[in-house]
Amino acid sequence: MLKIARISKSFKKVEALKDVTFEVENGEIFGVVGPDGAGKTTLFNILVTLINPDKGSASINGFNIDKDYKKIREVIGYLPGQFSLYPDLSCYENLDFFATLYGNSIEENYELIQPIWSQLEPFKDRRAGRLSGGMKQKLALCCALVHRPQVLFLDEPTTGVDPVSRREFWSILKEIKKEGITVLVSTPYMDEATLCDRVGLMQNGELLKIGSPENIVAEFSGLLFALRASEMYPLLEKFKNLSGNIHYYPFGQQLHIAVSHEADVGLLYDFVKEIGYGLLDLQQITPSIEDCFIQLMAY
Amino acid sequence: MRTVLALIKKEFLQIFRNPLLWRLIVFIPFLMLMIFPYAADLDIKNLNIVVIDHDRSTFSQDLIAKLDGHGLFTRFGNIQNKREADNALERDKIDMIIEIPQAYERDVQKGIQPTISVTMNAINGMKAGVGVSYITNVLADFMSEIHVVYNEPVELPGRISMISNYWFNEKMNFRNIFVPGILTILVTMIGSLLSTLNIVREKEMGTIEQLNITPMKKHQFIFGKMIPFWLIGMFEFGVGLLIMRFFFGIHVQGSVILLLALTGIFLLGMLGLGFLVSIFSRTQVQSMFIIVFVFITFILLSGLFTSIDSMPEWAKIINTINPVAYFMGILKLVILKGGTLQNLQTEIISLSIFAVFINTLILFFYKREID
Repeated sequence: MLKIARISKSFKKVEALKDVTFEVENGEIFGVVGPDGAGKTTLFNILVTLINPDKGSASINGFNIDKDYKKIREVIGYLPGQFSLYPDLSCYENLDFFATLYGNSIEENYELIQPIWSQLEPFKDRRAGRLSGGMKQKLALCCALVHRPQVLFLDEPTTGVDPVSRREFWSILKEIKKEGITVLVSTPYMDEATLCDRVGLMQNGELLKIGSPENIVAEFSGLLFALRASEMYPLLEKFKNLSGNIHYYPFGQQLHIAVSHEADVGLLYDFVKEIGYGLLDLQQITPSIEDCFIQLMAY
Repeated sequence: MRTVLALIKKEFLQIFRNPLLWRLIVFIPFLMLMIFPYAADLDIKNLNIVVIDHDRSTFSQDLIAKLDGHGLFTRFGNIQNKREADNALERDKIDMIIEIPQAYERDVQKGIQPTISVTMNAINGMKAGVGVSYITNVLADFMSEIHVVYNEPVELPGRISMISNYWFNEKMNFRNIFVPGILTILVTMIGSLLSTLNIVREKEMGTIEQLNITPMKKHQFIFGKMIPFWLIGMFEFGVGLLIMRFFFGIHVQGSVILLLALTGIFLLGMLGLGFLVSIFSRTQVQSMFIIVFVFITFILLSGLFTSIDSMPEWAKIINTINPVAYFMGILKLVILKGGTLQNLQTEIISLSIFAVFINTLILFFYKREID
């Protein structure tokens, strides 16, 4: 179990983390979701004992990140945001190297990495630097798992990875979870939040909300409408004239409109008619987790 | 132990995967030792001279024969007048003009001191200096001989002839001084530069983070990084010694084992220096600048180009903390003078202190934190 209590960290004038507190249960996939610069990487670097927080404390399975960092290093695996294996070593040599650093051999935990490693096996003598992006990520994951960590940290593992590989990567994470490994994953993609057991939304170094995706969706306040737009830009221009406590934002092909008070719904209907849309174009929808995050972040 | 071995194995794998790096490591000793000692060759083996003989007497012919028989002087062409000779000198064709005056023989027989003019080409100052001293000797020698033959009674006003004898380098072969110097540069450079660049590269690539979060201990990391480069440094030095022995024919007068042991200690200090610089650098360029600056200062003060004994006091004081100066001293002492353990106590103690000090600093400054 991870306990993070009131952690703050500043770099010169930038406050990277402000009073972050949360807990992660054993065996769950916990997602830290937030835009670039939210402080996700700093949080992970603190938890994997690469940097010390200015304030606050954290513990992983009872080990304090400050005092027991040596013990923590034995029980965690870390997949950094940027590829940081040795590009001039082959896949096998990288894996063997990291297994040995943890005092293990590849064979000891082979069944854990086998599903991933089997895909890499045909390229095991290829240099890691010459693998494709998705393959690099899989190799890095193998290296982070080869000592069977109790907690696995993944810093933006799917950033820059194609959609098919992303889906595949998440199914691998579910498999890892089945092995009883706690997974902490950060991502800037809000749609990936639904794949986690619980998520924490981060912005500007603050944790805005923690909960399961279902709970977060249930806590959406007000009503949400979608307006199909043939051309988004002119529509946005027209919406600038809308009064009342109504928020709107483009969402793919549609304009999402969040109405805080039911009393304002009539106002919206009138406005839509006024700008020349039929009422059929406007539909009330159930909010997705992205809508919830936008609500939390923007207003 | 397994961890350290894994690190060493990884380091060597990476070095041999880098086609430029391993070739450099193998060929650098050859390049440095084969090129520099020749470029800095200060031996003067030949001087092109023109003799203008206005006298054309037996005496002047004898003098010319003596010059020809000396071995250092080669007569250039058949120039017989001063203007042509000056011209050749100005075009750097010849090194020296010797002009024998008209009444040379007569003056000598009368006992009048004759004047022989010597014009020296001093574009190469070193060469000119050596040439002048040689010609002065030859002329003085010749004059004393003819005094004996013609001027009776012989009066030798207590002439003292000095025969100089250079110790430890009898033929004043400049390579004997320069080759140990190049060996010093080689070991210093390999030791400090390779280790720094390697560690900073890991920082640049982010792989150091992956290493930092493993349960690997600090000393394991330090050993794992030091041992490969220590071995490479020793390899370079060994190759250098072989080139020195078989190519330049310089035999190590003292004990080779002592030499290797001391190189080992010196390398520990240099590797430590490289490691320390890597702690404070973020990029390879930064670390390279620091190393090159320190390296040049150490080398210039080390006594490769000028003897430390002829340096001003403040330079001598700086040299008391200059490991390169101690190492240079050791190489010269052991290789040229056959120095033993007893002669080298100061150097050994100083180098050991440096190695221990710098490696303690590493233990103190090397932290797991990225910053």
